[in-house]
Amino acid sequence: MTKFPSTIVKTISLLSIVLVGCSGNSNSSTTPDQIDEGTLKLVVNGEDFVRNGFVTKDDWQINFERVAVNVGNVMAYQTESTFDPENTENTENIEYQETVTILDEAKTVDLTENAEAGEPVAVEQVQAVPGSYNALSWELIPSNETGLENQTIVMQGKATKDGETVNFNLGFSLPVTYLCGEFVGDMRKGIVKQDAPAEVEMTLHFDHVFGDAGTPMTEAINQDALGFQPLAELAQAGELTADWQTLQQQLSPENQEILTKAIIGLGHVGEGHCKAEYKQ
Amino acid sequence: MKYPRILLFLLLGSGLSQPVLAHGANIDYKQTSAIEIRATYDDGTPMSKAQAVIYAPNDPTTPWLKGVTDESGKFTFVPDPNLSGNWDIKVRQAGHGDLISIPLEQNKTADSSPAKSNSGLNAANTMNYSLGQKWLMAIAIVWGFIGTALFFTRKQS
Repeated sequence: MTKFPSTIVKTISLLSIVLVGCSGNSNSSTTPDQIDEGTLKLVVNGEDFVRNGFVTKDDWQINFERVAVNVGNVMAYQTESTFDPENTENTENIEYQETVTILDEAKTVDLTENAEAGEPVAVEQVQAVPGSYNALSWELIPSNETGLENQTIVMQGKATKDGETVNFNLGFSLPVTYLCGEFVGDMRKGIVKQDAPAEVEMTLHFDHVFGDAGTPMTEAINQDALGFQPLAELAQAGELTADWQTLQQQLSPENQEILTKAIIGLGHVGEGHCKAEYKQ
Repeated sequence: MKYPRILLFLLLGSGLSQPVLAHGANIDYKQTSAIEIRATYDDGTPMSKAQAVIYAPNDPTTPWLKGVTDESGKFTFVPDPNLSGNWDIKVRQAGHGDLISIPLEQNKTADSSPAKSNSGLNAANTMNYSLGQKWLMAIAIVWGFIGTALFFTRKQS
């Protein structure tokens, strides 16, 4: 038997390794973990009602100094077709192709930030697989921050009407999970491309709480809103500081119910509806 | 609070032509497949005179068509049959809106190059060898090298 020269054996081994390695590269561009990701940004929007102030359905001029919301567990999803939150029981039942966690811990956001720029508040930015993120889930979580203990929402500001002024500081402790479809507004949002960042938006409709004098009183937005007058009647010497427990004790049962529904129904995606689940 | 809903209807619109000869006027028609949507609030109230925006599958961020719903909340459009994928329809009114995606397949007459597409797909598939296939090819190549080496290192008789 002929004995191989060692250089030939080494050359054969090296060539074999190279060949196997090269054949493995033929499909590398399609492996999921090598897809070039894009950027997805989360913004929270209190709209011009929060940024600029507004007149309530009962003619109180409201101007906010601070509107703090404690949000968390924010996830965006790519679903095969239109996502209808009303046909989905909870976040575990969302059938998605891709998902990305944007915010897994709670974060307090002041919606009056960027008031001068007239823009929503940027909260977080993550890398995400390109595609259309047409569903969003998020939570209002009781805060651990000093001064906001156990509050999900805090509204601070000034209300004026006919020469009367009420300085208000209202706290709400209503943990809510929101399931939302795609953002509905002037533009499309949530469409991530490798070379074009996108954003998803949590929108809070404060006109649902106070109503809007600029909208006919016959519209649902005003029919279902509390207004500010019932709250103004709780003020003493022009000061109203009340947490959720206090409001529940002092408001009439009917107004309690209206206010609870309005606060729970704050969450939207632009003009798009969200399914809200109040976690008592 | 009432919320918007978009219902979907597929129409097979067929224009039935009648010749109109007076004064040389002419009317052409073509048969199309149209899509009709009806937008309502969840209490059934139609979203009449609401803004309707259509996005085609090839550019989901730029409106392909804009219009207004009729009194009953209906809006009809004819999608381009050459564009397959999700057609998105957005309807908005008074601070509320909804969006629906309609998946449409490219029609067979418009799809004139399936063989070309398939051949491309097959070519790509031939590159997707399994690990076993790769090792088999490697062993065959190595055996080829060994045979070649044996040929050149054999003793000359």
